[in-house]
Amino acid sequence: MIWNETKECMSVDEKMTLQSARLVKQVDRVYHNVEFYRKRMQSVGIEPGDIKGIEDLPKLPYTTKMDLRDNYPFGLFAVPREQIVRVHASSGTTGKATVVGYTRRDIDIWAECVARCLAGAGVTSKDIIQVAYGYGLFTGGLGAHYGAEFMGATVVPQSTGNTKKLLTMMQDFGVTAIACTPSYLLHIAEVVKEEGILDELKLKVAICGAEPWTENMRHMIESELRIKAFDIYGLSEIMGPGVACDCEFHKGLHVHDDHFYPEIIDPETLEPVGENVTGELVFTTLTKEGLPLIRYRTKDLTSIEYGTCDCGRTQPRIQKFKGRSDDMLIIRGVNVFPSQVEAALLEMGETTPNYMMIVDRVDHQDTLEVQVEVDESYFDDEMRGLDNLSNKVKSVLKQALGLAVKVKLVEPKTLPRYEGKSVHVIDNRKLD
Amino acid sequence: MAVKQVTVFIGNKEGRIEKVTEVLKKNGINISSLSLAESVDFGLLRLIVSDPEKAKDALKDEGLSARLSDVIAVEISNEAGSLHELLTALVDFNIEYMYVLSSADTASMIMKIKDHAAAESVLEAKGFRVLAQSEVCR
Repeated sequence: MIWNETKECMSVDEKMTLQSARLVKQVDRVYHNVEFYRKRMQSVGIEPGDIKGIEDLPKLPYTTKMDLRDNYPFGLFAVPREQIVRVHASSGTTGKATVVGYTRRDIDIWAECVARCLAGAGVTSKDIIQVAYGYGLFTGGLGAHYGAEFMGATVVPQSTGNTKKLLTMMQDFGVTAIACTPSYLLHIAEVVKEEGILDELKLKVAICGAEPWTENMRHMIESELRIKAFDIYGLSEIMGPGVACDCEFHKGLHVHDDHFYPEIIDPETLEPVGENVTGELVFTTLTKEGLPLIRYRTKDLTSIEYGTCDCGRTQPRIQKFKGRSDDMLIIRGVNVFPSQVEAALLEMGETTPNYMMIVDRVDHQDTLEVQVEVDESYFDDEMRGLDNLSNKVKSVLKQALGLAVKVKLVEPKTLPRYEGKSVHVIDNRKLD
Repeated sequence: MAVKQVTVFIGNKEGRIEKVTEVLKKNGINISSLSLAESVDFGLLRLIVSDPEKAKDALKDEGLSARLSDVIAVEISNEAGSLHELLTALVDFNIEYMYVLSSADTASMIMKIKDHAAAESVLEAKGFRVLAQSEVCR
């Protein structure tokens, strides 16, 4: 079902007119309300009057996660703080989080976008949906929640952590839809199998996101749980989940480009590239009030396909993600930068700063092991000292990353180095 | 009168203990006793050697993590009940770990006790002979 046919199936010409009008207004707003954008535009000799339509977008400079960090926490907000009704936060590259803010209208638009995604997956107001993303600063939980509520479905704000309880409620409530990470859903599927309760479930659809997944994983989820599974994409800087979503034809993620204008650029030359060419995904928020972002570099590598989809939607479609142009990892839906591990170890000061992150997927769940080199200044002759050290590193990293970590202490100078520089990540997950 | 023990941090994988004995051999260092404490991912190899300082430096030069710590070496007779007598004398002390240095005729216990000095006084007062470095390894 198509939730907002006017916008989702708008003709290309009409869409461009709408996008142009919105961009002109947005650029004017950020120029006058956000010092950072004013200075950035002045530095390249651009004034709001130079932006007459969406075709002028490439004239504008890019915005990066670093810019968000430099203006931490509220420096890029385009409205007085009193008009912000909610903030969310995600991992920054070091200690400081990336903070985003929403006005009431932003929250409404976000909810409507999520409702479009849910509708595309076949969810209706008659459904009962478990939201099993984390609730809190992470946008996943509340984002999906507001969208489902906006649509009029019955929401069970399950959050994450207790699979047995989730399944009990799924059975007892007759839950028909679930929103969670694909790897968590695979874990749920395993437990369902173990308990032999598949026949007791009324589940028919899953909306999965917050981490990259493959067609294989989708097929596995669909056959194990006898449901339909759909992909949803988003990032907190732009909005949260619901920036783009799958339809029943699975031909890429439809971008809600009346609100979020996508471009693909070459991450080296920073020049826009054509249709179906892989590059870095860049978004401009056309309607966002709280934290408008102009040409925000997502660091996600993908390509875009244009043209009308078999479902009738005319929106551009993001193809499968091919990785990142930075070193960010997504582990159990949590964004993790190696530099966070390094900063936490240095701050703790009880090991060498040499470390290696080993990411794997065991029984469909992501695992993160951090190997840390210790030398004689950090241990004594008793095992207890090392156990304490290992536990301390574990808790420091859990604090820093928001993720449970397995810690392994290793001998000094045993972690691989590449031309004197440490290699920090081994990702053994197979995503092909 | 403390005895210096060399403690080496070793990863739990093939050939690491052999690496330690190789370095000691190369440097002409004799080992008279050792113990290995192991955990899932790593171990601590504790050694009583002829020249602890030289052993530590040689191991570090080869990229291993080694350090020195003080332990007590106590002579006991090599007959039934002697270890029990020793432990009875130390019943009020918390022994972190211990291992043995023994032959058919003599025996001594290498012990790590938190309150090192007090334990030593108690042992001497009760007639035990606490050994010097030169008596445990040459």
